[in-house]
Amino acid sequence: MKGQLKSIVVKGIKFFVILFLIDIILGSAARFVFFTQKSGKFYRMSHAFRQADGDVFIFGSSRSSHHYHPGILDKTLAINSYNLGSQGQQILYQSTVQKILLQNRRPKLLILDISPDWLYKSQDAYDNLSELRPFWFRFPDIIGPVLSLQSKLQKIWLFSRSYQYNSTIVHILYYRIKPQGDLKGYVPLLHIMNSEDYRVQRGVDSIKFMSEQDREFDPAFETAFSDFLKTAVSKKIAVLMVCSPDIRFKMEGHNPSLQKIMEIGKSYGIPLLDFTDDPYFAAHRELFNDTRHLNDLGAKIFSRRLCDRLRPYL
Amino acid sequence: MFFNSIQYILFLPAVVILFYLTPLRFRWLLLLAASYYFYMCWKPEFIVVIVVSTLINYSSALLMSGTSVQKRKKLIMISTLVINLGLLVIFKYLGFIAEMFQTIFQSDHPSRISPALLLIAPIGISYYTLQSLSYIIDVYYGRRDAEKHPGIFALYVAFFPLILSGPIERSTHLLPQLREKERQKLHSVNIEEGIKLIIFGYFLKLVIADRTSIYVDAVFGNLPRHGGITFMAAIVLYSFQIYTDFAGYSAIAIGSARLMGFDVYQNFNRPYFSSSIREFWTRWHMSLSSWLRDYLFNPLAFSFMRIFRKERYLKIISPEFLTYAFAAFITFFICGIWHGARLTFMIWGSLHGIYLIIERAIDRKTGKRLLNIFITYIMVLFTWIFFRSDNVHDAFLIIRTIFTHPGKLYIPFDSDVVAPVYAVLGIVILLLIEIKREFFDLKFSLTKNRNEYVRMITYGLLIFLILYLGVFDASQFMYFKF
Repeated sequence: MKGQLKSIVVKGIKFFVILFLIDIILGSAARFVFFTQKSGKFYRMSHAFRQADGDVFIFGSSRSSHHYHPGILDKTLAINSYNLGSQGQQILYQSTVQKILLQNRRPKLLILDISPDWLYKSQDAYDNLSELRPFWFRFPDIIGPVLSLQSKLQKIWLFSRSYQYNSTIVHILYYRIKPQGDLKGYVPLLHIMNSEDYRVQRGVDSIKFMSEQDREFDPAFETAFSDFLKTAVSKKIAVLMVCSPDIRFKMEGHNPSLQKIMEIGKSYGIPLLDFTDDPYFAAHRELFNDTRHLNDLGAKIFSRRLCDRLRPYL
Repeated sequence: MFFNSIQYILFLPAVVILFYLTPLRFRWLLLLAASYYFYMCWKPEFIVVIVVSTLINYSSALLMSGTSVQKRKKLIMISTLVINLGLLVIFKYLGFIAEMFQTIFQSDHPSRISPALLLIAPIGISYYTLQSLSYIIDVYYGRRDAEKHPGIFALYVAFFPLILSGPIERSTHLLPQLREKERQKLHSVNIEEGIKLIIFGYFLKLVIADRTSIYVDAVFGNLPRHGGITFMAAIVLYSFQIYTDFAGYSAIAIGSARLMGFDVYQNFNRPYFSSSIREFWTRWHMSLSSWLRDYLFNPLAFSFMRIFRKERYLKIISPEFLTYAFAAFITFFICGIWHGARLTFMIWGSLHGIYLIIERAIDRKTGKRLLNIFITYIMVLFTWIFFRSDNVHDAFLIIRTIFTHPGKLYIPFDSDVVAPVYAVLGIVILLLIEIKREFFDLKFSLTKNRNEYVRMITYGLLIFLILYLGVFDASQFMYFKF
């Protein structure tokens, strides 16, 4: 028994030393590869956290990253803007990114592209926070508490360097092979929605909309949304909430989450620009990639139309 | 508490350490307490079902062994089987049966099923019921004595690595081990082998099954949007998802038991390298297929053979073939129902039954092994369409679309583009390992290398592969729901 126990303990120690060494070697390699990217979603995040500076920062989900063309905003308004929109990310993420950015930057305006269902409970909203893991070692005080919302044991996992880069390696390789153009965070969609796409997606959207009726609010999301506005107001940075074009709904509808968002915004005196009822987009389905996202042409038109309404806030 | 949760990663070592610290004669008590705690982590009230089932089976076996009157023995055996199957039917199939009757008689009032009939099945009931049934039948036929120790028997039913999804153990195999003192002594080889199995299980689950599920769920969640090529890709990925999910679970279960010195049945043996459907069922879910063979197919075949041998009008077809056909079809039809109360599972099981009958009739083997493997895989792939679809209508929609509307391959854009790539990467690694084991009898092995550092580095790298490529949101294992 004692001999076996000794053998197990010795083997265990050896195995842990090997694991530790592999973690240091592979984790360092992954960190190097990650932070030397030149394209893709993680590059945009990394660039925004480290270098991006500007007068206007645009926050939001995929609708933000596909709708706001900083090149057009910069040229038309003679400003410097950057699009921080990120696919699948909701208000917890936006609030965290805002805190990181405002640590050492003072933009003139923050545009928050609103997704109507942001305040509903959503496991995806928590799961997608994993994309912040690679930046944890740089901003542990800001990112650590947010990742703890996923699981209290995240702190233990994060001791592994390799774990911080979970689900990033293939992504990095993919964009090294097939790089995306750097459009200051803007990601164009090139598909033109046809009537068949529209018919099928409307069906899916209506089912989703019906199921949204009974959804509950997540208090953590409400707090994060209030925090976002409060932080900007306290630092005297202007905030503008925008509902960019969406073929699925008209904003003055019956979505309780959206109504709550509007209430909170109002309590901080934040103006809201609504493009969901813009007849121009409602009449031109060919400007959409799908029912939720504008395509490249649609995004360019939207960005120009947005410029006209942004002038008073700059 | 899922096997792929942090809670289990903390629970298992704690139990193993306590197991070896506890005197041998009290270990059953520790394991029983740990097993009941593990089980109660889902829904504490379900423990009542398992305790009741345990008490009934324990007492029935004792009653059977205490009587020499054959008729009485048989009566006890049959009534115990009825009670066990009754529990299974009540919890798993009552809602389905009510729904079926309603469809037949009152199709215009679909909302009338009493909520009381739609009970939630206690997790693992399909597995521990089969385990208990085999015990009762074995005692009846004198293959083993009735277990006198109620605690040991309760542990046999509820042993935590196996209770949720097997492997389905036999009383003749597991029960003696629970008493064997030599086996339960600390051996470094058990710890090493157990850890190796668990690491490999996590690789299968987190890297392949959970990655493939992202694509498969996206396609099956939105059928009208996709074409035939996408469905084919999704079905191929699903074939690996279901395999690696269940094989991963089984590896963790076997590894967990091995840490404490227990030897549990193997459940998978590279099933997609089978040359025939018959062979497939000797490599896929082996503990279930062997259970079905021993406790369902063989008795059925025996009964049918007695009937068909007497029938003189069956001169064209041999009685042996007829016997096989009837027994195989019924066995696999029941196998389908065992997976769940759905028409799609029945079709899935029936298809396998029909495949076996046809195989027996025409002897389709060409002599070329690779071609046979390919044909078998395609046949199995076809049945997975029914297994994965929510209803028969969806399954036929997929089949029709494959032949009539190929469309374009669906590739999720932006960050999601990596999900199928990760999955394919994992599958390639798995296939390389399996091809080596299946076709090449190489003496060189990284995982069984004589140099312990080579073994350690290999498994260390596998852990890091999991850390880099795995999905860590503790999704459920698929076979829990069966």
